[in-house]
Amino acid sequence: MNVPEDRLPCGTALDDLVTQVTEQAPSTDPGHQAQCPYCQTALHGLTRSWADIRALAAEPVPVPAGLTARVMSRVRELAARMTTTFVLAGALGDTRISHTVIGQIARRAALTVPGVLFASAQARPGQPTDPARLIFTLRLVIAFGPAADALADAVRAVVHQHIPRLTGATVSSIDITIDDIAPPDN
Amino acid sequence: MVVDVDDRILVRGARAGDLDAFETLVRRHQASVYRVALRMLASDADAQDVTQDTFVRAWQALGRFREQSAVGTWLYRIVTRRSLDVLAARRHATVLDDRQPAHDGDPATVTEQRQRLHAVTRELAALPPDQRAALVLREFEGLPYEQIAEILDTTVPAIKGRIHRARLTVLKHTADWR
Repeated sequence: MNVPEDRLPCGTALDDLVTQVTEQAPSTDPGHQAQCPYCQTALHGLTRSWADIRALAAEPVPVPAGLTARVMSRVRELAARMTTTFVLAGALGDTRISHTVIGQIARRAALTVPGVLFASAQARPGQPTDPARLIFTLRLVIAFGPAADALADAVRAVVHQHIPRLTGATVSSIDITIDDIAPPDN
Repeated sequence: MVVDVDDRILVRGARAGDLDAFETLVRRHQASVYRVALRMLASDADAQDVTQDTFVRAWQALGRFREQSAVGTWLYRIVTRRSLDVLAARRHATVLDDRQPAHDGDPATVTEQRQRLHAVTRELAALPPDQRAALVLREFEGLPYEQIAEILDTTVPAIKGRIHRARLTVLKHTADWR
């Protein structure tokens, strides 16, 4: 029998059966399908193969070991090229600390304040004439409960305390944005 | 205390140069990015390269990220485009997923199952790239048609058409239907 491609010997289009199996759509001709051995065979085969696709999709794909480190190593390289540095002049040579690192110190200091759940921080020179004085911009997510302004003041206090001690820079100002308040049960 | 910080807040932090915020985004999204690359490219090595490239590009483009979009959709868009670029450069070379996932059970059954899944992987790899991308995002990532259309910059009817053609081709070549 000469059967057109993509049609069963009974004339049913393979296309319709694929839609039926993959979309769980109703049969276009249930009376015929219930009696037709060609349709029954095709539906059985298509259902089995579709289950294979679903099985492949459900198969866990673990993240390869070291992938995060590789990604971040490359990003850190790029970030290092873009970042500016703060210079501490010394008798035996200069020490450069990147503003990104100073921002990280401010971020970690902010996280020590109870009620601060997340912080990001940016440090930049306040005035070209005095590069040792830095302006900080912090964004926080805080817990539900503590007063936001008291918490912001506590963050300013720890940043003021840590930055000069750990980096030698001085803090010109600290702008704080509360980006979010976590729900009470978080 | 660990808090589930919204992606957009992490993006704001990363934009300000906070690498820890960006690393949190990487950890949060790398599994889906790698999975899409692997299903698109059928090669672990290429998928790892594309995953790395996706996040590097995302880092470089943080300033252009529009906050009304979801970060996940934005990353899906980058990884899909990068994967399509790699496929275009690869031309006719066939590479198949060389990972060996662990399976429990009767060795004969496991072997048969592996062969069947390998056949599906081979047919996926033979699909035209635009169909493959749509099918991967739909069947492997479970995304709605609207989101796939946004990721691939086309319309929902076009996506539905691509996915149907992809399903038809894969099933036609893997199923015993005659």
